Amino acid sequence: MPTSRFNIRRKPRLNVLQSEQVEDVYMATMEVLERTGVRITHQRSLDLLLDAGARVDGDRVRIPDSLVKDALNRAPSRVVLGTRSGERTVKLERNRSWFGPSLDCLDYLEPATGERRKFRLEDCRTTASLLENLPNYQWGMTFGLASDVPPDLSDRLVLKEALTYSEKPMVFCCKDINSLKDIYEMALVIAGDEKQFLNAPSIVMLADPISPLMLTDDTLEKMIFCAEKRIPQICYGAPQAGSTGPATFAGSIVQGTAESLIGLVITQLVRPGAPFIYGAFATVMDMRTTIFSYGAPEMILMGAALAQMSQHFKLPYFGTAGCSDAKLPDSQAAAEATMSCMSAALSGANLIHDCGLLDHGCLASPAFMVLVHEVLDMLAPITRGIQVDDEHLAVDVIHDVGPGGHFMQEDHTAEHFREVWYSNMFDRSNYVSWLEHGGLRFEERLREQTLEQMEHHERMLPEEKRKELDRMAEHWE
Amino acid sequence: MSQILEQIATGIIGGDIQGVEKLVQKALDEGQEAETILQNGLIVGMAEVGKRFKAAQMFIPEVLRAAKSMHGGQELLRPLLAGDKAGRAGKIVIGTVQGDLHDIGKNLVGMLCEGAGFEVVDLGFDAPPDKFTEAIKTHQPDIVAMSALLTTTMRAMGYTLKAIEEAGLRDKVKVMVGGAPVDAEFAERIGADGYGHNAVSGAEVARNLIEAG
Ligand code: B12
Repeated sequence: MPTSRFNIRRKPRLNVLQSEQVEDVYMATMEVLERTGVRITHQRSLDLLLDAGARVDGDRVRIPDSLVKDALNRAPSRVVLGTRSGERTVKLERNRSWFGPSLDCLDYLEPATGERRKFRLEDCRTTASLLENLPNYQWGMTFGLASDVPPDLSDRLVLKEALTYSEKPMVFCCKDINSLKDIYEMALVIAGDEKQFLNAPSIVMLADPISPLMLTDDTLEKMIFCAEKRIPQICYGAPQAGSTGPATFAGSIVQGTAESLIGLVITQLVRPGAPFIYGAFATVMDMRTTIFSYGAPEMILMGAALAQMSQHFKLPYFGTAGCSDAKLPDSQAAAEATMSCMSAALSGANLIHDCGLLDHGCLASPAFMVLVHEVLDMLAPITRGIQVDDEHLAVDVIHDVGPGGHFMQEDHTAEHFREVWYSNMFDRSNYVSWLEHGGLRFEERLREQTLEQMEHHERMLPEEKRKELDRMAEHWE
Repeated sequence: MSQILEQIATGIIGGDIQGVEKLVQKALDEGQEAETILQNGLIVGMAEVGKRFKAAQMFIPEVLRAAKSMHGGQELLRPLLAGDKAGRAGKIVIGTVQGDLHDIGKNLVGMLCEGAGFEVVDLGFDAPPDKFTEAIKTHQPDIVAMSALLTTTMRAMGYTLKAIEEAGLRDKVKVMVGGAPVDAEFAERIGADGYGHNAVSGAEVARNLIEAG
């Protein structure tokens, strides 16, 4: 869904917060950072913060709002990601939205048989190749954590697989600083050298603060490394309203914002201008089942509010959409994903993850990836908005046709009817022709189309680079 | 069942923390046996809570409040209850295993076990095997409960079990496990005694392990 500059202006806007409320959330966030503060034990971070004017009391760090303001001034207001061949494709700026899949699932839903099983390394190849074939996804993630490789290597092996079979930039999580160094080395090999990497970074690290208000030593170690090397990074806590965040939505937005901004402050102290992406996975705990919901309307609402906050900060924003609590790519999954994708796009979220994810974060499903891809296709004409000019206001042709005529043979119609969207998956035929074409249920068509999408040539990393990555992997521990 | 015991059970279901304490005191003043109040009041109420939660008629914050009122009532009864456990269902040491920072599930299991009458010692998250073995030595629990949410940390459950064995403590405790990637088969493979897929079943498993002896 490439969006041109012109489209951005025309894109309809979802504002769930009034501008006064944006200020209220900001001030409340500053109060949390100044009054409650954050728990940090990492010595280098504590030193940095103390030097910069934070109040440090043991492992509790309290930050005045001036420090946040400084960090906001230093941070880039846009981050551009690129393909592994160096093309700058994903521009995280303003209200441009770029969708991508999910990461680190436990299980895999086999598209041919419908069998659910543990995620394996080979599944990463399948999903990465599928990603390559689905243009509405402009970037990727590592889909699942392989269960059939040594657990200590799993984070790097899945990413290596994803980078081998897809050209698109990849967001990853990794267990510690050693993993991160290996991953950075991989990215340099793929890009050629540091200069080329910086010209179009093809990897982005996802770091998690632990809600409420904690950052572990491991996480800070990784974040500092990324800042030093200018690897784009996302600082993304998961305040779960009612359990690890306050039960009220504004409160979870405030807490999530505080957790992300502390990451911003530290990264900008390490290296002014270090590429940073703000965000939080604010959702609710479902109090009937205790699950962390990936499909709740409140998650969608809070996500939209956070996107607005990011625009206030002029920071790129990482959001969540296209996922579901359902166990199959069924009607519930489609309803939840559609609502979240639409809201994410219209609120102007930038980097939007978890398309194709089922069972609240546990299940990767190629079929659902394909379904959500079609939802995004359907969303495209909505995000393009309505063009309003003489040609499109169509006063002349309305006059020419006049009362009681019709438009079907007009030149104006011939010129513009292609602006209407058509689906290759959703059915609009009449009942008889639907029957004549086999009367296929949606699930059956989805299965067929998923299998079709999976049959294609993947865009493999050139052989010498593949060999080099293999050589590197031999030394991973 | 006497009226006051029924009121206690109702108080538990309604999560009336102070109300339950008052009623328990009143029942004692009226001459009811501590054991009777526990079995026919508090536990009856909590059993109903479990049932209602499973039927999606109660929400977890209500269940946790019920657990808290149960706990309060029980603390009043404890000095009066016979036996070395003084009315406790048993003691549980619980923690999220090494390398894993996910602790919400573990916290819930802990709170509901408390509600089921257990004394719970919480080791927090990222707890290495020796923290478990040390805690067994110090607290002498009946049950060790481990939580893991990552494919990469599940095996730490196995390592912890091994450490417990090597410390010669395995026959002193029952072990139960849970968390998103864990299933009954895995629990059996590493030699755990029980598995629970959510917090309510966790508390049930704990009770069953104690009953099975
Ligand atoms: C919230 C969350 C986080 C939070 C945790 C905060 C916290 N304080 O716990 C943060 C953001 C820090 C986090 C970090 C990471 N997470 Co995380 N996280 C989740 C998420 C979304 C929800 C977990 C949760 O709290 N659920 C709610 C609670 C109540 O449920 P529960 O834990 O399952 O517990 C219930 C039962 O399992 C059971 N139970 C649990 N323990 C026990 C123990 C016993 C004895 C018994 C009987 C029962 C029992 O009872 C509980 C109550 O009903 C899950 C997705 C999911 N659906 O599980 C991913 C998930 C577990 N995380 C995942 C991953 C990979 C990570 C990270 C590596 C990076 C990342 N992707 O973000 C880091 C790892 C950090 C680390 N070293 O541990 C993956 C795991 C995949 C895998 N193959 O292992 C998941 C599945 C999501 C995903 N696809 O990315 N995560």
